[in-house]
Amino acid sequence: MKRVNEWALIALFILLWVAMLSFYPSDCYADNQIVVGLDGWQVPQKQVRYMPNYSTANPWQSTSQFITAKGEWTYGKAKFSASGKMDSISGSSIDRLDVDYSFGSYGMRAGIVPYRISWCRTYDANSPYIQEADAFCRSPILNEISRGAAGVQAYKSWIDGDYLLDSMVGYYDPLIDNQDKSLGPYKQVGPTVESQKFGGSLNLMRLSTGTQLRISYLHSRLLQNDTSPTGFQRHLEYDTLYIATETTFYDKLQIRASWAAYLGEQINNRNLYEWTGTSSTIEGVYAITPQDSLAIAASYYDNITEYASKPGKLQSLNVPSYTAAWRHNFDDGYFGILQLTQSTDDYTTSNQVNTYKEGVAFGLRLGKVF
Amino acid sequence: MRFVLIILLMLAMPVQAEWLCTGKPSIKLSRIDLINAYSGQSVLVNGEWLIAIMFPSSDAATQVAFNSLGISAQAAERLAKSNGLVDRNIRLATTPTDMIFKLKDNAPAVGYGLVVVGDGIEKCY
Repeated sequence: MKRVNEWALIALFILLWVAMLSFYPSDCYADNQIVVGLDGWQVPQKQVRYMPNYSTANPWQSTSQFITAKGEWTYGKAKFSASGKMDSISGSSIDRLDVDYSFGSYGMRAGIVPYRISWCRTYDANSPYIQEADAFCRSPILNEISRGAAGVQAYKSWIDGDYLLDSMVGYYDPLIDNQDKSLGPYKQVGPTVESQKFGGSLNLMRLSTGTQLRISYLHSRLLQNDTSPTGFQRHLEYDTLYIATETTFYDKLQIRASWAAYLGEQINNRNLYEWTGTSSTIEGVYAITPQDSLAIAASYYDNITEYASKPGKLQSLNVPSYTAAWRHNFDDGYFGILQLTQSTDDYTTSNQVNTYKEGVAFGLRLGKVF
Repeated sequence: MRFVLIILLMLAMPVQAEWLCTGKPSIKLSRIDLINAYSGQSVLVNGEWLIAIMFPSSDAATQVAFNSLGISAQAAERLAKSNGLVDRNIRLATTPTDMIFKLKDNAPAVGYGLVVVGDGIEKCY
């Protein structure tokens, strides 16, 4: 299938937005939200893994601008949705451009659709953080669980007494929207020639309390042509898992615990390896007043690579991190967030050479929700 | 003494939320419609899905409104977020001005709080 250029997608996104704002018919209803802001960070001199300045798409600057936009236009039972973000450091992306046709308790979506695996807060205008505690949500290298691709999804909901069960299955072809560099946590070795994903999610909520549980699974299969002199065709298969629960105590304290994993295998006789990366996070967000929230989180990310050519010599990475963030909402949609993140980067190569780094990052965000 | 009795009576009375709607023709909702709408279920009004608009769960007006329905504001707030598996017809408003804007822009819609009646916004429960 023919690929769609990223710039063509961005142009379509803007054109659609302007057209919907200007000309949408009287029986079409719109809901738009734009968040703009400025971030300032003080980060460690040495790069520590998954800090804000680690492996950024554009050159690092201590201050940066961002804009996120999402819109929904409803016409009868059909809904068109679009969302995208631009950041002067992490770049731009269109994460949603789809049509959702709902029959009530069931329906389907087609277009560029979010995988909806995780509870990452990418488009949450009320997020208590500048950058989330969970490495799988905050790092552009690991955050595939918060993204999406061209595909189709079908969903169904059931209510039984006090319980609401949502289910969803999806099939995706990331090459259609030009995501040939989207390999989850794996490094690219050359052009991707084939890429498919499929999976499903379940979400159970107790309606009287808001306590909920999410279980998600996504399988990815890729073929890549290695461009090095010893090039081979790389066959990569990996599973993405996400299990999380959250609840509220005394109407003020929200507690969330999550576990996410990439479990992968490169199937090629010339360089066979297995790679496992997991992220466990526990966080509490306390609403001090309706305008102020305080978030405290602890997260532990690790990965282990086992090369078939080096039996018993594991390559490992451990990244524990701790985050505290305070958000204040001012009048007229203005808000400010102060964040402190402490992180450690403990890496051992397959030759058993160890490096250890740690550091603290301070961040300030000033923004406005339109 | 009479004044104290009136105050005590007022304190004993349950606080009722004022439910306000937009839609053409004008709509009337039942308690079940309100519970269903804020529980994430689709409610068909005049052939279209009803949009339920709420302030954050920590807002005092939300606590009055949701207590009167006997459902969880935290559940509704989580259902309104975009990381759910199903997009619900629940929207979050941050200010009374935002509530008015969303009520008018999403008709048929229901909301609550100190929103002025008129200009297409009517009491509906």
